[in-house]
Amino acid sequence: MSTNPFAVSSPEMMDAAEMLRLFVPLSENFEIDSPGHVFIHGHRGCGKSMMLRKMTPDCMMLSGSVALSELPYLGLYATIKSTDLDLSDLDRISNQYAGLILAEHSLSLFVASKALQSLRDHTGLGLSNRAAKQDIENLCEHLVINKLKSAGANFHGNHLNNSELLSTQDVLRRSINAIDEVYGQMSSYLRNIGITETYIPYSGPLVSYRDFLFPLLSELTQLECLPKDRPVYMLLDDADNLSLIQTQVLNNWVSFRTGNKVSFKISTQRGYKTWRTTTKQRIEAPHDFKEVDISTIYTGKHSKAAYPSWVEDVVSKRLAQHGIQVSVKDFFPEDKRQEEAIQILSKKHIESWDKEGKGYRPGDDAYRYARPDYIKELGPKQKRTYSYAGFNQLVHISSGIVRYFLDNSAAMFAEEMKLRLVSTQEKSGEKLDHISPTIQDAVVRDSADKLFFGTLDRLEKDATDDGEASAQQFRQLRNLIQALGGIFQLILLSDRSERRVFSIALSDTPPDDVMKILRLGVRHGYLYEAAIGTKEGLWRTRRYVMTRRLAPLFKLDPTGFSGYLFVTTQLLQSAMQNPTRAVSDFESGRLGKVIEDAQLPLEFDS
Amino acid sequence: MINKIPLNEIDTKFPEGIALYIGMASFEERCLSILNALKLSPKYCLFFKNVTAGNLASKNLDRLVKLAADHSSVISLDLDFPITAADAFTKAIMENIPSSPVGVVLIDSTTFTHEQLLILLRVLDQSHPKSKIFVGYIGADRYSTNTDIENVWLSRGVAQIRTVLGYPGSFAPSKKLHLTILVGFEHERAAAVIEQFEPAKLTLMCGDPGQSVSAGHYDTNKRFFEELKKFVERTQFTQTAVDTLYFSCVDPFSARDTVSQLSMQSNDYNIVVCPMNTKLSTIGVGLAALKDERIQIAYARAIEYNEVGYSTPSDTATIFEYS
Repeated sequence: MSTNPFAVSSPEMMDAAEMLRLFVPLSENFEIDSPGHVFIHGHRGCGKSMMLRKMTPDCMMLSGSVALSELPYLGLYATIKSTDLDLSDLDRISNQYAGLILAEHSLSLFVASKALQSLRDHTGLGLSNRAAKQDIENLCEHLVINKLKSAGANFHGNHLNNSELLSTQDVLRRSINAIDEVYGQMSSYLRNIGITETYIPYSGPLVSYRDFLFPLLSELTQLECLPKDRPVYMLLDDADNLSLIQTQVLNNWVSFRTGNKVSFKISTQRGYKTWRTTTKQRIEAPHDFKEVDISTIYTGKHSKAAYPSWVEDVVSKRLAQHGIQVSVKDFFPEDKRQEEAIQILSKKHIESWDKEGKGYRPGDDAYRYARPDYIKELGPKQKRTYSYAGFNQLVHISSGIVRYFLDNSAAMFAEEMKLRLVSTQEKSGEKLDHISPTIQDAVVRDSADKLFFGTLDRLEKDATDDGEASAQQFRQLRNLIQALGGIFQLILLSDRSERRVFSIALSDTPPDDVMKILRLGVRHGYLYEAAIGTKEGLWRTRRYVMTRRLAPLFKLDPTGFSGYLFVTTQLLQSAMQNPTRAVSDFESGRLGKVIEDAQLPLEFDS
Repeated sequence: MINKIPLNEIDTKFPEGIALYIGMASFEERCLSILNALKLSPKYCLFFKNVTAGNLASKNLDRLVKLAADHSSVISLDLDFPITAADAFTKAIMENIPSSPVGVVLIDSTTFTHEQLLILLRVLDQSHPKSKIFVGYIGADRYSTNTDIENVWLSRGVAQIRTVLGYPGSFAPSKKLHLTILVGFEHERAAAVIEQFEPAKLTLMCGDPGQSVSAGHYDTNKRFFEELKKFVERTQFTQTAVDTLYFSCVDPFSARDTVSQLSMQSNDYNIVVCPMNTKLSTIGVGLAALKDERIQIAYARAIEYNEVGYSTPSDTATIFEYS
């Protein structure tokens, strides 16, 4: 397979050196490295896994040049894959007490095994000494092997204190195998119960968080070879992949508030199944945990410059690693003819500013109107199409999710390679030094089509199976997005003083059914949620930003926005039912009002 | 032993007649082929149907019931609830295939979903029936009859990726994941499976040119296989080890052996196999997993099937003894 500089690596499989080569810290660390349970939400590909993996000892030791025992905490990484724990066979007992007990048992063992693996794989040479081996051996003997034995496990010759175990790695491997063996007994049980209605009692060993996992994790903080008296952070990646009952069990653990000793840092892709525990109590922020949303790098205070420069760093590192020595802007060039035409329009705005200027400075008008004017000149049917090429535009289109940028770039790179191989018969070793604007444009347009048609089609048809929303509600979401795209396009092509609008703010409190559609949009990445002051300035209201991945679909300028559309429930309801009518009503001035607020941060403006 | 015979000679395989026929009503014409071709009607027929089946499937069910005269029962299955499907299969088998031999049982595997077929096999495995069980399969003469070759589609979208009931595998939390996909006539679902699992090792299996239903089917399969390979090349996780392998689309025992061998070579991994090709190869995967409990079978349920032009039946049948 050829190497594509934009291919995505799973942090789980990266070593510390590669992590440090590729990892670029976000502008905001959200303080997830303080003690206490934290939920980290964000769409797939926004950098959550990298963030967690970076907190493991090998990465921390390498980046900070500190010894294992000197680290401020012990981060142990565990990724949860889709069918690791969530097995169809468990449904057979999910409504029984046995289901609850086995969920606790399996999750405790799973996390314990992963924790010891992380200790083995992510501590570098930090445990390669006799004292460390002795410490770990004692701990594993007492808190793994003996505990499992007293829970009913029957190991044959699984003793840790024998001379064959030459290293700490051996001790950990043997302990992990012991946990896996007990875990395997549960798998055999599941195989038998899944297929039959007949009740079959479970007779294997049973462990739980309180009697097995917590003592094991908390005791790690007492070892001299590890960060002594400092907290253990269990870094659980992709907790959406737990079943409902396993999620409830994890919530139990969060509710124990053991943060000073053991904290869970849990990432989700916004599909976390419940906030209730097994006793139906809700866990709540900030009492039980802290909650951060990485998507706020798109809508929050750092969105203006931090995200583009972060992406630039990420991409520069990848290009350099593949021996491509050009700047990101040269690698993703703009459409030259288009940019020259926009420059001419910019000059015109600057020259006419003293007579017709709307902004505070000549440059304001040039920036605000030149690109929209250019799109407007192309007309709604765009015989000559607007090009979405250029690093800057691509960053904006990625909408705060670096994975979208990388996925598009990977597709562009593959296309460009293919084209060059066909046209010049060049060898595959040839280094690409740029991606043509035509290919950049084609790929982002294709992605926009897939997002609006393919993905929404799937969600709509999937609805009966999903349970989170009905097919009708997904249709309403599609209508809403279509209406908003249409309205934003109308505004862009108008003579309004502010034409770059990509977001709406609520001017009243919509009923639950409307809010559900908005939340559905946020859940599936079509909208981002933020807050903004009301027109009256008395309080704050919700604001929803449409993903700029859809900019090509609605022929919008993705590079920034300076205004937002204050909307009423009436407009939203109309949009959800009949997008064409909603656009037409907006056009005739019956619905919605664009606010041109100089106080509004010009997100992504550069 | 696998027998591929002209459909109109199918009776020759059952000189003692058929005591029980089990089939699935579907939107595909193929669900009728075997029963239609049998000159001696089975003594009794069990027809399953999906509760959400559309008009085409309902019409075909009526035709199946008519072919069985008065000797049939209809049992509904819900695609969303594998456990109720397993219970329905168990009940049907307990009631109709008692532990004492009743004669020949013929399961027409053609139009069960891959998941239902695997659950049915698992139920059979657990219930140890004494009767002789044969499995029949009618390949498609053409797939995607309402499109040109370039736009062939059989199903679209992924509603859910889940383990198949009865095949949870035996995972060790410490092991990495080896995902094997038997690529069929779609790459979108297969790509979704790869994205979902993010495997450490990936085996993409393509139908063997000499063991495909037809040369035309091989060409289509190969095209989708290449599409999937391109997807993997473009988006692969850089540490993922990828290899490719051929398997038999027409011989379940050969497919079983291929998967078993692959599993034996992957002792250090948790093994997930996702069958997406013919029902015969899916049966092979099921047989391998029944033998090797380490294998977990995953199923990517499609959102939409090309009901109008899914396939046209071929005039040959594959028959083999299962028990």
